[in-house]
Amino acid sequence: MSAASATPRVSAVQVGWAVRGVALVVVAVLFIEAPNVLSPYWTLIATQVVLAFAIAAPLNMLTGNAGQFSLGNAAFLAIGAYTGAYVVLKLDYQLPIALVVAGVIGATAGFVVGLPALRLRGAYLLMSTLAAHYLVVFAAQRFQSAQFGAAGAIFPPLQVGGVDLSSPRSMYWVILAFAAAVALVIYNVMWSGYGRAIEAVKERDLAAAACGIPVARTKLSVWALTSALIAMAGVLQAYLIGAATFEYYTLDLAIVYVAIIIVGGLGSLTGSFLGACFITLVPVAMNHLTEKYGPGVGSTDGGLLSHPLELETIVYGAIIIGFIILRPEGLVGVVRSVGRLAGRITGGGRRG
Amino acid sequence: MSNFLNAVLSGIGFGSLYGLVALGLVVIFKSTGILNFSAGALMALGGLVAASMTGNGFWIAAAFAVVVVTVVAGASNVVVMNPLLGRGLFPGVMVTIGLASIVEGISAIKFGARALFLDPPVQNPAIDLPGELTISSTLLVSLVLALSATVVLSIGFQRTGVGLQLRAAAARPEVATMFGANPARIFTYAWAVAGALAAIAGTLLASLTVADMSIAAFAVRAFAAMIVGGVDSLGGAMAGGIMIGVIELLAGTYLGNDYRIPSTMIVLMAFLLLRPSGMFGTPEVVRP
Repeated sequence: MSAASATPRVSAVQVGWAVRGVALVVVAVLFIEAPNVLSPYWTLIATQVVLAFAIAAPLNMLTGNAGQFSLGNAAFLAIGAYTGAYVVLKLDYQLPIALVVAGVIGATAGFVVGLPALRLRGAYLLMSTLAAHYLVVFAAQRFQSAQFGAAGAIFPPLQVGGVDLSSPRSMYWVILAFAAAVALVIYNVMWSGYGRAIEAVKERDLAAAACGIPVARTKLSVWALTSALIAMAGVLQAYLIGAATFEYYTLDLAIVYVAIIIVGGLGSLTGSFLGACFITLVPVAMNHLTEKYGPGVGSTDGGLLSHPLELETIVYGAIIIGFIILRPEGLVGVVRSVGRLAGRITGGGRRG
Repeated sequence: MSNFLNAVLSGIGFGSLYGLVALGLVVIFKSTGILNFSAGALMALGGLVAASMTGNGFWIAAAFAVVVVTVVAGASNVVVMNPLLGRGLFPGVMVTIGLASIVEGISAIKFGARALFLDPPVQNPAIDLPGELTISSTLLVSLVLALSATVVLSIGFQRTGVGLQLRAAAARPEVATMFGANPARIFTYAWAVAGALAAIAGTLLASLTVADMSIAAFAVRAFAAMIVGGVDSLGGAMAGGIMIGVIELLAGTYLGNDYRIPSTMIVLMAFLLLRPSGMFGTPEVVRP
């Protein structure tokens, strides 16, 4: 191959990386500057989106990449929230210690919940995560009434090292930093040999074992890692809500995050983010719709919009069904096909 | 002692209702390999439809509820489940969850947020037995209906043409198609049967407690019953339901109401870990 034909290709790759680098910086600046531009209301919604991403991304790694269908994520959020509450309120440590302890306890719990995954598959594994959900929520209920009383664990305003971080903007930045760390961890793991082992175990665990991949260790470490991340997010979620109450950790909450990864796209970090935006914004959009066109709260006539909550439930179910049947690859698939189309139209589509 | 026996008697009654729903779960799982998470919403829909026409007496209201929920379940299969045939567990289960959400939302709009009440099937609410024992007449009706449903379904599976086609379509859909079975239509029957069973259970639960969406919470016991009994056994589902019901009510009597769900979940977990094929299931039913 001559140098003349090799040179332009190398520079194209370099240009590609430069574009990616610039795009990354632009996105980072947009995320960091968001609360300086947005109103407090939209800052709170942005916080919820970023937090939903930080919870959905590990779940997506567990379900999308490792193929372990779990309804146990609300239980891990509860484990994180109550661990955090105990560390902050009873032991009097601050958020960083609470995050570390929640991570350790979450990893341990994930290891235990993952143990049945070594023997069980499919429907049976799903049932064991369902049982684990109810048992953990029950334990949380006992723990709450023993340690914190009926009202739940009330969190103090967030402070780290004497710096007050309880304003909506600071909360956003704290949660954004955590979400970025989660994304970085998952991105690096999935692009390592270990990540490929995870994908291999999902496709065919017998074949993976034949290739020398330790299936049991791979499965258990995915459960431990993702559960640790979800439990840590649970601490931040409890701080954002201001309290940990066991009634909050329902099966419906667990389903929300599964819906996020379906709508966004399985096994994709971008998908987790797009899904988090979409599912978080559905109730917001419904609220605006009802406020604008609805007859007002409590009125009985005025058609469907006089039932905003019920309508939201219906729309939510329809979104889940619609994406699974019509767009199984999720929003990230839509974005990719739009990108391909744009590439074809401009004629620069090297990858077709 | 009478406390213990009363708890066991009520446990058998409630358990037969979980068994009814578990029968529907087994029929759907056997044929399509999907866990139906909309069973709870279908139960609640049945209870609400019946309670909305309680003026006509229990039996007419219940019959109407069964027809409505059967049609809803069958239609659900045609509209949203059939397009998913062969896509596996995860998409299927999530679609049933979405379906539950839609059914729940529509019922809440149609029947309002207040709880409704439904008359019991038999006028005198409790039957006294010797030795300070009593059992609710509604639970007795439940047990009779549940056992008959188990027998009828078992005969239907083993002795009728539709049952044969269903078993064939469940075992090898492509081969069954070659021999003239239409899996899509057969699975619609399976869903319709599951809907009818959920409606019967939901109606009886509505007359035992109140008719609102809280009935849907009973479905988790049906999942436990299904696993404990053995996922591919109809008689097992009923036996599992009764076992779960008895354990739940004993835990409620001796440990407190907070322990009712956790006790059943511990039993479920124990079976999953030690004997995933349940009491009566065949061991090689794991669908990878």
